[in-house]
Amino acid sequence: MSVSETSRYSTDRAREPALPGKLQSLGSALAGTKYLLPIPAALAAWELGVRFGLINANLFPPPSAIAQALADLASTGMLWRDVSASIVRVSTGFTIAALFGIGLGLVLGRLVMLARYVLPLIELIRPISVIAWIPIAILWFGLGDRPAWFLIALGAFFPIFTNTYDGARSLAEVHVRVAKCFGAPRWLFIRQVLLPATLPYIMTGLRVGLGTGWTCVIAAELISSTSGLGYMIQLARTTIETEKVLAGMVVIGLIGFAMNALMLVAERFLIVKEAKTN
Amino acid sequence: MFALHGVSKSFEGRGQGRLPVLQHIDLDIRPGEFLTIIGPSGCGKTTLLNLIGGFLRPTTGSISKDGDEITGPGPDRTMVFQDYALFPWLTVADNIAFGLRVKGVAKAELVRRVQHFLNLVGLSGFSDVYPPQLSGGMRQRVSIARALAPDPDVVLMDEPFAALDSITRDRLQEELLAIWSQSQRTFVLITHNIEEAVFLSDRIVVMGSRPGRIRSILDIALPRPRRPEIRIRDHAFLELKQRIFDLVSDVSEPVFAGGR
Repeated sequence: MSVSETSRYSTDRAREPALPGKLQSLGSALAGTKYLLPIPAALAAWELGVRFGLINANLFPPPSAIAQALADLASTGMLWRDVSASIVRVSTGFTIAALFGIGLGLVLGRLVMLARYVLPLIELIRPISVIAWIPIAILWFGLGDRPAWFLIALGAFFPIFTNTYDGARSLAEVHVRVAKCFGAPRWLFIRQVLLPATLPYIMTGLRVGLGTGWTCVIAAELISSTSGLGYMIQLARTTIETEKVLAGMVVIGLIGFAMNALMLVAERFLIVKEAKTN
Repeated sequence: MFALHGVSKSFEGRGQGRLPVLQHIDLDIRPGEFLTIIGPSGCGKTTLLNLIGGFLRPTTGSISKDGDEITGPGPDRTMVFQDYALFPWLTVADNIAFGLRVKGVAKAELVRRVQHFLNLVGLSGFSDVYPPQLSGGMRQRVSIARALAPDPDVVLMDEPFAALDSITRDRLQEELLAIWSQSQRTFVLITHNIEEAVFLSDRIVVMGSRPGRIRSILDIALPRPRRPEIRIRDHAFLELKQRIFDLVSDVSEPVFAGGR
């Protein structure tokens, strides 16, 4: 067998997946849409069920009525006011959670002895549902934004902290040794070794934490606020506008979905993907 | 420059008291030399390197540089690790710049020196590549450039080519000699490969085990530059290999009897 034969064979092999690979991914993307079919099907069944009188329209207003309610809310500007109130709240609480979660996670991840003393305390507080914190949050902070900030920060803190801590613990000992060997000062160690090694974990923690924060803001607003999506659906309940309640829930779901998608995009931009291949 | 006097090191054993790893090591490292430490596994050669690196403190004896006791790691003694230990999240250029950032080298100078060392190890086109995209041999060259960049007094290499195939290893040895002679630094290398030791070194420290001690120090007076073909054609080279083989595979050391 000649050398040229061997090399031709190997380039063929290397090129092979390129084109079919693209076609394949397009094909699988199209095939993937079929898994979404139950959603319009369920909506259609719901709508028809109401039209034919099989489903109680007062308890289950049909999708068309919810869409109408959504359009009404949007046109009066009420929806935008509540959405922005909720988003501003979640941003504030989430920022607090990120600062504490990442900071404490990195510190405890590197200071093993300290972590042994602090972790049991954290593990004891973690299982207490954020809902259970609402009464004490109102007692401490009254009504308004501040109890909401507290509850969001509390809910988002745990996933951010836990992931950051795990990431800092997973830093390879050999990389610590290299930093020591070169006599790296603390700032350089944090910026070029600890943070980049931990970043994938931090991003996962932030994404999960933002999701938790978003559920917390609604819970807080149901009880302790006079604005926001949680307040809006609570108010719609008292006036028995069921389609408004459901419209609010739809918006809550969509925003949560969008937040998660945004975080995934941020993850892709921030993390050196080449580094993950090994 | 570097001097080890009466150095011994023992570790806390499991229930059997202290386990001696190194005993009575006396060694002077000469400025600019290529020194290789060779010995069977378990002879404490990695411990010896870690002592010079400052990662460990000797149980007795002293390790000093120009008369000053070594108390910890420092950028005057950089290391090349067997598994490269590059930062996978930094580009090749940033990996090489790591030690320069420690020293606070200014931006323009930093860029210039990174480029210089990229050229030196033959990777000038790879500054923005991430280490996982490189082959093992290329990664080790990045690691060597990273160790040289901060201008250390000595570069410590812990079996740097052990993870590479033998063809790549031979080529890297030749490149390492070129890099060493251009950089005019002191290199201390650990290996269990006799040919590697003879090909590279000015002096070879042959170690024995249990406890680890210096068995013999040989001067390798082969002329430089050393061409690859001396490995198989040069009589003096083959004789030195033979002598070191006899030293490391001494009958009192059954551990190594099955080795090459």
